[in-house]
Amino acid sequence: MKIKNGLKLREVGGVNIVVAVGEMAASFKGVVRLNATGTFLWKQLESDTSECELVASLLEKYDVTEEIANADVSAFISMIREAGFLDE
Amino acid sequence: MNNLKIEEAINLFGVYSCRPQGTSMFPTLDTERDTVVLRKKEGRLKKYDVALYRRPDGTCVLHRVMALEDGGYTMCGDNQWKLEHGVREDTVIAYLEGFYRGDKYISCDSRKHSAYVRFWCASLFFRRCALSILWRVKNNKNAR
Repeated sequence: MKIKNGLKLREVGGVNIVVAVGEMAASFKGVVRLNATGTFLWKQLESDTSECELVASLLEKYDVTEEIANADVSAFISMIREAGFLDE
Repeated sequence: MNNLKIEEAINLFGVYSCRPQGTSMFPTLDTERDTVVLRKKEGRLKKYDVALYRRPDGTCVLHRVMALEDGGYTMCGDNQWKLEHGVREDTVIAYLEGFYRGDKYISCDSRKHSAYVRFWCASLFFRRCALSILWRVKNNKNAR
């Protein structure tokens, strides 16, 4: 799975947001702000990856337990899937 | 996901992005292909900044600051020539940080864009003069 084309991660004034461009902008209005973990996961998802790989990269980057990493990745994937941001 | 008014979203997140509406900022902003990135206003805007403000009739407008006034601004769309005076400071919600044209991000602070803005604003001044003369000639003809 990966982030759909037309969704750009941009830092504005220290805030990381997702901007819909091109055709995606016609169907999406508003703003999605990402925290540090969300930004990290988003960047991983800019190229094709799996949920297991996301958990592994989160464990490598942050000092968290596997249980927390699994829960965070699962919650993040659910959120962006619901928003229609994922190509699967 | 919540449905917030643009002011609420900007106050909450500090930033907002959307497609521009209308043609008043054409050719700088194109409703068909551009996405604007707006940032919450903090402090006074500068000449040639693009401001998002709410008019007394409730409409939200994205126009360029052409001059600073006491407690407000003179605004004009890049596709317009009539100046809008007396836009109050407290009605300005945000300013244009930059915009995406397709996949490419154009920052309003970039040298290239600043040069374009200066050129375009200068050409609007000459256009305003030309249109003003044409209107006077037309009115004089009609008066005879």
